[in-house]
Amino acid sequence: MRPDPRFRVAIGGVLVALLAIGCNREPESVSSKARVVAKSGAVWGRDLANGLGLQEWELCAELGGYDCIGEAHLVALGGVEPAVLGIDEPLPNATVSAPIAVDRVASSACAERWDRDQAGPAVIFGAVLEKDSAANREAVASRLVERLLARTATRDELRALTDLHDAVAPVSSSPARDWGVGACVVVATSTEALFY
Amino acid sequence: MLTRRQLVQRLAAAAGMGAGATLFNSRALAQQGDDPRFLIVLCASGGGSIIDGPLAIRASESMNPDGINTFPDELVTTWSDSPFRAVDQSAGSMGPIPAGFSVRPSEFFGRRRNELMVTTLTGTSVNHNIAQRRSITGNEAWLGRTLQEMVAWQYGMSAPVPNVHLVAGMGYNESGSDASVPTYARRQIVADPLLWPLSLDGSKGLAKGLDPAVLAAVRSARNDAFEPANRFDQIFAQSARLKEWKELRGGAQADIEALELINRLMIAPESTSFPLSEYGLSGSPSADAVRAAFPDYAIDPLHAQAAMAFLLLKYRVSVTVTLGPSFSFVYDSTGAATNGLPDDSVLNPPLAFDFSHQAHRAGQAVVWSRLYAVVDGLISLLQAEDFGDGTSMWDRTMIYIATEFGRQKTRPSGASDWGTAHDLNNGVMVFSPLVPGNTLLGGVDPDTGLTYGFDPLTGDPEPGRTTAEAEVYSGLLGALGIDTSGSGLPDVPAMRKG
Repeated sequence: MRPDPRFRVAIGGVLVALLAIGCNREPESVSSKARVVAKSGAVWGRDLANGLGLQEWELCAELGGYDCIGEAHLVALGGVEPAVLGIDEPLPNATVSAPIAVDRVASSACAERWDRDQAGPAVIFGAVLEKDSAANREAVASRLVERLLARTATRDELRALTDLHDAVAPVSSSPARDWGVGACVVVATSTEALFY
Repeated sequence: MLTRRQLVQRLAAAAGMGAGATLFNSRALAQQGDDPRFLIVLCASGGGSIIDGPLAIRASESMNPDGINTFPDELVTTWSDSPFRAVDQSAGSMGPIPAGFSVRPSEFFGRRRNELMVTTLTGTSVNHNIAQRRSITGNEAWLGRTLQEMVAWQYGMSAPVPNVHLVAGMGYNESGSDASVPTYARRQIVADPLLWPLSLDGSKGLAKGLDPAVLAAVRSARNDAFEPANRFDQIFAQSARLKEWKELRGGAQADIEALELINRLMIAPESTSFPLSEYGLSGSPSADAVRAAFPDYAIDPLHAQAAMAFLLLKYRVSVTVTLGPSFSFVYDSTGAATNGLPDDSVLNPPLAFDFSHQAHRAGQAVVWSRLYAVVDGLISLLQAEDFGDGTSMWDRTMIYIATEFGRQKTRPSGASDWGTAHDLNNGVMVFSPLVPGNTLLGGVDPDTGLTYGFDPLTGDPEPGRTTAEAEVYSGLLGALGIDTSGSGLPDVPAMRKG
């Protein structure tokens, strides 16, 4: 027996309504389970390199010779080194120096991207390099979130990034560069970039 | 964000009872931080046998000299004023390793025996990892809290990284199992002492980076504006990992950077491998002294650890440090080979003391000697360091040589080297002005090689009694002045000075 066409229309209407609600619905504000895992340094570094258009070994080298992720900060960033140090499992908790190490890697990598964009062709900072204006900073902020977090930035996030210029300008001799590198560091070292 | 003092006050309110009053009194903890004791745990990884150390048995003392682990009388140095011995020895190989060795611990004990207390001990596990853990928890004697955590808790509230472990992956490095121990007192692992200082400042020493003031603005924008607007951060706000991460970004990070540790803890000198000045760095003002004390710092991780241990205490970064040889083979390739590997080229045999499975006598001799050198260097450095009140750092420091267990006491008749299994029966060394020096608590039966215990109150030897892990744990805490009221631990005044 075929269902009444009016009934089909009603079901369709309900489905469409539910779909519309689902698409527009805000996510739950807080996860009750909150199961979050830190990316290893290798994974975070790969994401960072991809986002910045660099090779992994170009991100950062301490004292010019110690690869930040593969050597200098290897264990602090969740790596293992069984041969000499005897560390054959990642440390169970973050070390006190890990957030600083992350800032160093990101600062170095973001500054490298800035320098290369200056030399051209620009990958991220082109708009600000062309003209340091509020609109161009917003364009760069948007691009940073797209490249480093693989999604579109929200208005609040863009505002947080562009407002950084006001904080940096009084203490910087090169506000455009320091804002660009700094905004890049903000996104690259945010919890969303470091954890999953 | 809570300060440590506020945290302690809340813990006190939450815990209510069951621990020392000092530990839950923020004012008392602050005062203790101004008058600290320092604990160095030196791990005798693999099973350091006390009868191959200061309780060596001379053959003439034993009714069974060929059947148990005794030494020819002429090798054993004794002192008329001391219960301790030292065995100077050499051999053309280390069991299967064709490298000769020569050790002279009599020089060390000649200088340091007055700062040494040996307490006998009979453990409860011959599993490496379990026994390692029990050596720092007294077999979970006080809610599973480690010695290091207790020292960090009572004396380290003001230190940026109170409890540092310079060796990793062993039971000695486990966190305790009591969740009420404050986060600041839990262990922080430092994997590579030579490179670690480079992770102690967000700006300095980078070829490309951000000036400190700019970085401060960037961090503030991230922590206070970007992340609060970020859905990921909002959704997972209750994550313990995120909370821990944000706590690490907070006060501890600021304290560390303010202390200029990227320079002060830099052991390596200016060189092509460490072009410090090129990156605006200077190295530690104490680096010459620590490199002189631990000259193999560049090739031997234990020497690098020891150098860092001293600097961490000197600059009050930490109040307790844990170090020790790993199970990795460490070899000095600079010597000239003769018939095999160069003499004394094996700095750490494979498995450290556990090399005794293959070559007991050589393994024990070489690794004990290695630890004595570290103790000697640390004492010298700490003695030369003024605490600021006319006393030296050494006056308030304890070096506890923790180990898993002893070794089998018997040997094939008359063998000069042989392999041994693990044995629960043993003893431990404690170097410190805080314990009665030149003192043996308990004794050793020369006919069996087994140690026996002592009266915890008087210290008188008691053949037939054994010393428990909890007694050693409690005695060490007592000597360090840790408030153990309410813990139920056995009182061991014999291990306290005076």
